[in-house]
Amino acid sequence: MKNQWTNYYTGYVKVKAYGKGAERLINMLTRRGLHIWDVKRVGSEALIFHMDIRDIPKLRQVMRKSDCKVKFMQGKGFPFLMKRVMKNSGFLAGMIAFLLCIFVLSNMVWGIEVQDAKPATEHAIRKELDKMGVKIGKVQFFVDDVDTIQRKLSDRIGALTWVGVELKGTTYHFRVVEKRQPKEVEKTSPQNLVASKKRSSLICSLKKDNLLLM
Amino acid sequence: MARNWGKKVKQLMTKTMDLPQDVMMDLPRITMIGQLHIYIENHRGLLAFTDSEVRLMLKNGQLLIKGNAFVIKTILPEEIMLEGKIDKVYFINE
Repeated sequence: MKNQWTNYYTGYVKVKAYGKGAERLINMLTRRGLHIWDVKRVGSEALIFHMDIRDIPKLRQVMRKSDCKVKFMQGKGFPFLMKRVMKNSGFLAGMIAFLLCIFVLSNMVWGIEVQDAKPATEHAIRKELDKMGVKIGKVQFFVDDVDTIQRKLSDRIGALTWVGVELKGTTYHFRVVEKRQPKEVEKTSPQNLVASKKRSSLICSLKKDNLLLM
Repeated sequence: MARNWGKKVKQLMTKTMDLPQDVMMDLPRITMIGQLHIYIENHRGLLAFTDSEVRLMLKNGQLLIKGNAFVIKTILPEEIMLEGKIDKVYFINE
């Protein structure tokens, strides 16, 4: 038997045939090679059956010879669905708009978080990000990718040893490690070395080649 | 006379060569699934169809199926698939 799942995509019609000899009509149709299914009797002189829309021209040919009448009751399947969708195109537009909204909104930057940074560095980072265009409400496609942001930040802000940039969903997380610079030693002019106790000897290696003993 | 001869030869052939009889002699092949479905191959057309009765033409004679809530699931020139509650199947020889 023929597989019927393609009927939906090519489209089919529900037909009501009434008059005497509806059975004969069905015989004539099947002998012509039409595919007919779900035949039901309604009342005493009418049959309802389903057939492919591509066979409608053949049905018309057969109808000329037959003495009963047919009425198309309903069209089913993909072509008719498309027709209906086109008629109510507002729904389709709404659906597309909805998907578009979800897509765009889920690809926006909705948050920037900076962790482990002093307020001053955080401010600097935020300023730098603003310059780069990483702001709340920007679409992620037009923002640099994570690695580029990381490189630019560590290039431009001296106070950072390392910054980790991570994009989680719609939020950027920045993990900051600041430089711990030792305090600068005060520079002094040349001076004498004086022993703290008497008679103690002090060995100094002021220069590599001459060792002084006092 | 000649037709009878032909028939006899056919019967002999099917018996001796063990060929399936429905193919050789144009008999209907009927498959039923409980009372739910009946699938008939080798019919020669629909004679009458109502909710409770289906009459099919065969090569010689008719097949009458009684039951209720009949729906023809598919119909092809030589096959028919009937759904419903089947109570009785009659062979009517003319």
